[in-house]
Amino acid sequence: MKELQTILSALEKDPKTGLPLPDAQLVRLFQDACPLDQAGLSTLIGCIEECSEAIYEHYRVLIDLFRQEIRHIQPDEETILKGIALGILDDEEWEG
Amino acid sequence: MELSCLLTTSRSAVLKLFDGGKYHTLKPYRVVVNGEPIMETNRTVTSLYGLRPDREYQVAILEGNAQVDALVIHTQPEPVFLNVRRFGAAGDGVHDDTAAIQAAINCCPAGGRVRIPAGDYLIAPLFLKSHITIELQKGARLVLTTDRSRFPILPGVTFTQDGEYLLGTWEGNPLDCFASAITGIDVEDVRIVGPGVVDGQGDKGDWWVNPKIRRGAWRPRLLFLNRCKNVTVHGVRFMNSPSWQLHPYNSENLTFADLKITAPANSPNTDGFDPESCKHVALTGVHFSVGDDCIAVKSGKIYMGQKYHVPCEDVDISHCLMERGHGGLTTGSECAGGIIDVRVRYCVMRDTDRGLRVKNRRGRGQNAVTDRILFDHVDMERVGAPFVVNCLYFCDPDGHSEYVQSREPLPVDERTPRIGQITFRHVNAQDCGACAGYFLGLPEQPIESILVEDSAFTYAPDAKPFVPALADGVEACLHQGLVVHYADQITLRNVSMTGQQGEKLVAVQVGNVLWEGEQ
Repeated sequence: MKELQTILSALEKDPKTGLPLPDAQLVRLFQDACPLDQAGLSTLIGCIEECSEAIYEHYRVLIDLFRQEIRHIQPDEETILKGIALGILDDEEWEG
Repeated sequence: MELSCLLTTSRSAVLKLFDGGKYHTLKPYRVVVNGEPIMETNRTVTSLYGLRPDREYQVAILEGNAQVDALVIHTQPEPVFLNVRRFGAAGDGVHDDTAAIQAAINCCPAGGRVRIPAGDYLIAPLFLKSHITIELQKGARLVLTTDRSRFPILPGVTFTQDGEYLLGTWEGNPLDCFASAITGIDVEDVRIVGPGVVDGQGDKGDWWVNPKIRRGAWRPRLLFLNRCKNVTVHGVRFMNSPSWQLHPYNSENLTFADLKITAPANSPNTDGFDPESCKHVALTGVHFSVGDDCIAVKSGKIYMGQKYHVPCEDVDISHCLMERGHGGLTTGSECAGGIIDVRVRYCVMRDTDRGLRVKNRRGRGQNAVTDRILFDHVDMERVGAPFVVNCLYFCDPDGHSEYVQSREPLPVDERTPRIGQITFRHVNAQDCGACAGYFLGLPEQPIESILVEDSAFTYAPDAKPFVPALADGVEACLHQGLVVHYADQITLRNVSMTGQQGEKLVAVQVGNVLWEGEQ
């Protein structure tokens, strides 16, 4: 799995916001890397955090992938907290 | 002239005086109630206020001194009304009256009325509940705060055990948005009655500054209804929304009558009325003058279209006046759930950029079917392009991509939208600018059928060139006829055109052209 910034810098930018736009290629990158380890999961949540929501269908696949993959490992606290902050994980289920 | 009563509440009624007129009647009339002259009117759809609950009223319409029609109306019962002043609302434009008005709403029993008397009520978002009437009386203004820290956020998606729960939405996707001035979630049997004002103060705060940047959440509307049914709004003036003004979403059996919806011409995305994935919607007697599309019928982008496939269907628009918007009646660009059976009848479009504006593009999905759009008895004055159908609309971050803009036929797949039948009858378009119509289908999925009949077009001598369709490669034009690219069938029947440059019809890759009458 490439570094987060390498992945983000390769994406086209939303002309209105300047945020990286998730595309089908990005989705495939993560799908092909499944099952994700901690590093992969960190990169994935980092992408979700930084990317534009504008192409929602791709953005949403990344979210659903994260929710699916986080259940297969013991994620670190930072990953969980990011997921909660983004509204992707339920704090009651994941905190403590 | 035929008089009918469109609806009654406990204290008001909406009348329709139909003499063949559109937004205005052909002549002025006097309205007499129980023998007393109440008002003069020249509007086809007009409201009566100050009635009493559960009473009969004899309503007569006079032309001069002669009665032309009459009927009896019966107002609804009203067990109680609650005056927001008694809940502590100051109405002085300074104190925050949100809690007081919300308390009155929450305490109102079924069938009751929340009365908001004259005054300026500074508010943060208010939430509706079922089975009540909210009355903004004459001189009453709900003034929306410009402090965005006072706005609750409606989360776009909340994940559940088995799926997701959707609340917020922005431009066709389930995204976090600020609650609106008046928000209804899962409510039914609600009436919001005027003639007061809801002022979003978009011109005062920073909602219109960098409007495409999400700051906290996406911008609120003035009225947002999500999963609501049997809602009536009449007589209210809505103005200066932070974004779209009225946004009913996933809702049904909605009536909007005798409204005025305004925002400055240069205000961003202040669409007047955007029903999204709704059904059985009636909009009548509404005057629009806004900074974007007057009416935009929508049904979401591809995520919503594929997962939920909720079309916007059975939308009836009549006796409206659309002024100065980008489109008089627009469909899309969010149309991934489909847009079916939209009728515009007896309306006037004046100084709008376009009359009908169908926006679509590759990537909206195979459920993005726009079909059975009808314009009937519509007058257009100084409209840049009366009819525009654009299937290469360059919206969204990938709007200029090769995929969206290609003029070569691409494979028809699960991302390909479709345009069905579009009909124009008795359209009188005076002083057109760019062209009579610009239809741009997809080479792989042409527009199925265009019918223009008993219609007339003239051109403004002083019109400036104008780009009719926002697609790559479409240049500004002036005084052109009907331009059609990629359609299966176009029928022109008794269509007159005076003053156009070049051919009345330019057809490129059109399967069948049928002319009847003058060519």
